[in-house]
Amino acid sequence: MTTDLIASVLIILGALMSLLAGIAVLRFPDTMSRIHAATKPQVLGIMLLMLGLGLRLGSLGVIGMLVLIVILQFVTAPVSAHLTVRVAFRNARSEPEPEERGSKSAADDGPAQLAQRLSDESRTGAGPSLSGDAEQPDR
Amino acid sequence: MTMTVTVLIAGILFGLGALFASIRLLRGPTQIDRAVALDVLLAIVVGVIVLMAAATDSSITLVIAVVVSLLGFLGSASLAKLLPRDRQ
Repeated sequence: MTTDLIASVLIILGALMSLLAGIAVLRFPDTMSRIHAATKPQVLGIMLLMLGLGLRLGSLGVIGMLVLIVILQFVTAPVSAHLTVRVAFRNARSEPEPEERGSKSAADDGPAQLAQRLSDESRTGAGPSLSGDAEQPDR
Repeated sequence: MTMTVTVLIAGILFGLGALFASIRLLRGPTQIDRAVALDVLLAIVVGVIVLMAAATDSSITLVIAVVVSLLGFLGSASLAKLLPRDRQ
């Protein structure tokens, strides 16, 4: 009974994680924050669901398969997120404005601005050194 | 009794998540947004398969979950590799 209750709570938490990812993918303003939120149910949500199902079924072969799925997700989710983010970053570098101009505070420090600043610095040969260093008073 | 309520609540949560992700899939301004939404949808599909296994107390659908999670990685990685550099 107690095991059943814990398994139910874990399964509902995993489902809640995927609902949060859906809301975040719909609501977040630019691509990188969407990718950041979309990686959560692939690791944490799947892990919670597998824990719940393992508590519920509880035979050895089933637990082996659940561990296999969790290990596969742990290995492949960061790799695919990294590949997607790399393409998104290169596209943001070639395209200077974010997609939604309305949300001003979110658009201020978006990846497009970051990429623009990085490419400006590398073009002038300043390198990655902080430009704010000159204005600092010496200690 | 507990399991019925659990399947109901988790099914509603999964359904809402899939609905929002597919709205982004239809509407996403770039192709990368669509790829990300497809990734979320595949994670939700794996979750629904696991929920089905928990509801029927049988482990026979877990093989489908393994295959879907592998295919999700393959699809996402190849989309990131093969998408054209242009936007829209």
